[in-house]
Amino acid sequence: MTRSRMRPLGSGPGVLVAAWVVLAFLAMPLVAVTGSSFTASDLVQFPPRGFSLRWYQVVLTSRDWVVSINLSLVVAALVIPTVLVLGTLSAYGLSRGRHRGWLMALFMSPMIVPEVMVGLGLLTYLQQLRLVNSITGLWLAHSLVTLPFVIRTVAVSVHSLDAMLERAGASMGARPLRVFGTVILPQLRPGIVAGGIFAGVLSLGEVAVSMFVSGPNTTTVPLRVMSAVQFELDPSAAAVSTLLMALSVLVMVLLSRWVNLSAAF
Amino acid sequence: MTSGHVAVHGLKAGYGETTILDIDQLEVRPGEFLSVLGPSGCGKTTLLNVIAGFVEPTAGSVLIDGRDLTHTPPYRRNLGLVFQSYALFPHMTVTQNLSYGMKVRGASKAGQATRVAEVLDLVGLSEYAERMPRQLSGGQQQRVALARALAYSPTVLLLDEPLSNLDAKLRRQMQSELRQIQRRVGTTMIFVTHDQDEALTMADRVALLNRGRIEQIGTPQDIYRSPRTPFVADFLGAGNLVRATVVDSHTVVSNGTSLPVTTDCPGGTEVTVVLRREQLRLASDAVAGQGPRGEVTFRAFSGGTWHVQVRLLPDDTAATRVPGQVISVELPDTGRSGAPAEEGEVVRLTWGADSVVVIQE
Repeated sequence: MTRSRMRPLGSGPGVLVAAWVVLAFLAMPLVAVTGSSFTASDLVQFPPRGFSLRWYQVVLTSRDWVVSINLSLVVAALVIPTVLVLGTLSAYGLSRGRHRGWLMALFMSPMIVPEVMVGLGLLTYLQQLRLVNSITGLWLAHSLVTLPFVIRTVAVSVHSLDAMLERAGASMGARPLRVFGTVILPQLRPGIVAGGIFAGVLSLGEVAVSMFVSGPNTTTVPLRVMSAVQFELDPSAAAVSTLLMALSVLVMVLLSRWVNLSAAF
Repeated sequence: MTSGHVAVHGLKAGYGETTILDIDQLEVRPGEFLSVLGPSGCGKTTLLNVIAGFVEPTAGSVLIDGRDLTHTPPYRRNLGLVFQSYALFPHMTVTQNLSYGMKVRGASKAGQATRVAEVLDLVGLSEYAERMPRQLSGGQQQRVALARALAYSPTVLLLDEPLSNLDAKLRRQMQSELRQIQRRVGTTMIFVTHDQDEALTMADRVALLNRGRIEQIGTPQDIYRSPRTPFVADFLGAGNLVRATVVDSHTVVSNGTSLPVTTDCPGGTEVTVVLRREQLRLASDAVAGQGPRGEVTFRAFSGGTWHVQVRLLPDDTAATRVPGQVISVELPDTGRSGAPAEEGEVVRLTWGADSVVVIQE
């Protein structure tokens, strides 16, 4: 039996051109930042003038930048485990309890409400708790903003859970908590890992809410980038951004060896 | 050794006003293989889930070895479950899957290893101990699921359509294999299926469920040879159910056609006569004899047998009546020498009057 070869849909020249244009549009900012970080000049420029690593040297030797980088990493390191625990439990719980729709909307609200509003709200109540301009404040704020993303990614994994696996575990004598630990959690791994990456990347890049709750002693990297480009268009901001991006890519690559990420995003 | 006696009393299950299960009394003897048979939606899976503890009954009780387990959570019932979808833990090797129940029970490492080797041998998968479930075929996965449920020696094994995802050939092979394993280990098994062949082939007894109730329960021979209701006869593939009125102890009449039977029912009783396809024979119309006349409307050859359909004709040919019922007949092929009557021919349908079942409505 001969089967005629079907021409795949959307392989015409027009589609290809459009695809390349969109790709270029998406990649341009990254290329511009990365490129300009290697410039030899004193101003952010793209294409870069000459090639040098001097701005990387500036960043890594500047006390301000190093403090900000450390702060951002510490906050991310606190935020990731916090939202993974909360997000995983919420996603699993929200898949089976009563009033699912309402609760889900409530848990997702930080994603829908304008960030400025969330920031203002946080400022108001963190002020009362004297947590503005503290690592704890940033930790809470970033956890709030990133939690919905973790719930979303874990919910995808929860959705593809086979309910029969839980029954199998229970029938063999495992209590619910044991079933959760030995059967459910391993199945949710792709969603949890993806959620962790999301939370980390978002926390490292968070500007809007951080602006409200941080202060002179708690300037995260993106906030320092903002102020750096406001006063002098200094290529060190581009170098820091490139470093952060490289970190994200590295984490993604390492994790993708261990878990099938495309199944989770 | 656990004995595995299951008793169900006055069991009802459902939600709101709908009752999906209503079972007065059901007992499974220790070591017995009981098939629970019925069409989809008859409540057979619900029955299994109530026994397993996943569905809370609205009334009644479930007793295992005399202990009332109606409100005991599933993980304290010490039962084994085998699922249609296998439900093997995909992130664990075969060995880890098999050890799970024993690990939960706190068995020693050495004890677990011995028992895993034992049950793997039982299902003939010793070489596959370190494989992941996805590296196994459907049949192998189902064997692992069975071994996993047997590994911790549960009192009763519940099987929910475990062979439905296998192809026909593998399925027959697994049927006999499962039965042999059951005889060897002696565990009570309750096997849910919608396939009457499977139920009859495998079971010591068959419980036929219809709309949440037990329509009939008995040995395969019992339930096949003496169906108590038309539903049972029909579900077990009788082929022809003819509604008729009793005339005397040797005759019933259906739509103007007399049918020879043997019955104790008094004259005038409404009955259903079960004419099994393979019990019927065709005779020439010219030969006078017992049995109604009919016209052949369809004839087909299918290997070892002929399928013939015959439309019953009334005794009094002059009378104009609604067209008679069509009866399916299955005749063994007699080779080149003979073929059954052709389409359009009028024949006489014969059968042994004693062997035909008459069900009183």
